Amino acid sequence: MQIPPIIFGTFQYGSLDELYPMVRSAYENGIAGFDTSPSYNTEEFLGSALSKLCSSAGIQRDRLLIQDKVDGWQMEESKGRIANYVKHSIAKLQSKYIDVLFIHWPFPEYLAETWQAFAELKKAGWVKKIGLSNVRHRHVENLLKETGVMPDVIQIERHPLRICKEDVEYFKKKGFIVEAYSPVCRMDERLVESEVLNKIAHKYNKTIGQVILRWHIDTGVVPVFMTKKESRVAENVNIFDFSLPIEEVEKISSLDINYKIFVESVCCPGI
Amino acid sequence: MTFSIFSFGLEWNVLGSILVILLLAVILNGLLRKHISKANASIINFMNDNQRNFDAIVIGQPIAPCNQRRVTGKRILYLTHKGRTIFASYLFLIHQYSYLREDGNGIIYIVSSTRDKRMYARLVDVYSFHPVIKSRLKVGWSLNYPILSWTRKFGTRHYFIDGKDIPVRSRIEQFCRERKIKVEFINQ
Repeated sequence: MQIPPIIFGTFQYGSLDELYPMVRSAYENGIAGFDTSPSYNTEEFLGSALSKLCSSAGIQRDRLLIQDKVDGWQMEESKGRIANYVKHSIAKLQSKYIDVLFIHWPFPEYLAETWQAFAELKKAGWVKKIGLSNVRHRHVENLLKETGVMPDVIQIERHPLRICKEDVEYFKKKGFIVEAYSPVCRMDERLVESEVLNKIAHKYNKTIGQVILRWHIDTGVVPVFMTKKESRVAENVNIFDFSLPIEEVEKISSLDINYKIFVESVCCPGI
Repeated sequence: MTFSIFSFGLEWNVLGSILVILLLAVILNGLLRKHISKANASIINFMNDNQRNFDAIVIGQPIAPCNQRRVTGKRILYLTHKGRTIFASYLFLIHQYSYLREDGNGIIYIVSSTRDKRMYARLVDVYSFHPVIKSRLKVGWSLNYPILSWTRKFGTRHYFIDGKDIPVRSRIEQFCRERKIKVEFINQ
């Protein structure tokens, strides 16, 4: 299963009853990729939701892409020997494998050991692709020097207020797939009130959210979005009937103020 | 009979005293928790505060008036507290440096004594630390019961998993160098 052009995130869902309708809606709207993490407490819900979806839609598991992560406390407790945690996650997801497994935050202690464990899990077939989340190019450079193991996917917080130009260019040059979480920066008022975005949205008769998601696609990045509204799911996939010319892409990129929602060092001390 | 009445009265006195002491302990515990929270008032909750890209971050001891002019910048984040050790300052650095602007014009100030070699953080320091770091420091339930842990020292010489005996000042310098961050020590 290849990485789809847009992925649905399951951060902040409190129950299967809350998640399943959204998962079903996402699938019905053409989304086949789903993202979770142990720290979201949604692995079990997602596993049950996807299992229910496969039964009701008559599809096989390999038609879906599941992304999961290894969290900092797991790296710390096991000193990087995370295989058992991953197998436990796979069981919770009611699957035999994970399509993409990320190191959620690159805690410097045990990072290399964890990454080596990732490579072994991939070799053994428990994981199809391995990735790094919340990294800069220096983290990847150092890990490559230390372990020689290449990531397949990188997932970072990225949106017009933080375009991560240098890092994204590096990742793409290396051939890594780049994904963006918080792709619309939670519709920060600086984006909602942006003249540039409002003008472009009006031109294409789209919402600002749709324009931003299209900006991700047109800059070669896969957005990972989260919503609790089914109408928003339909809206967010309605972005493949237009594209932005380079001038408009650059205008959106010029909104960059290096604003990040998730302050990296607070989430990952020593990052 | 007199003896049993006397001992019965004595038991109630003891019980009463214990209850009073417990009540005082609960009140004092609450006051200490408030004090710790107040001491960490400058810690930003990034989920509902969009302050970022500070010109400077000042970490360590409160800066003396004579040194204040050394701190430059319009937007400054102060993470200082009386008695903060160099080790605690290192931990604050690794937790909070991402609030600094990333265009090469930001600067970290570490306010400390050159003689400070203390390898611990106090309860008032660990309040805002990441759960993984708290676990490493064995903070446990200490923040819930500060009355029992007020004088505890969190940290050891074995905190750093590389096992190397590198002075904390050097670690701070190396950390900043690797991330291309300007750092200046203000010795007090």
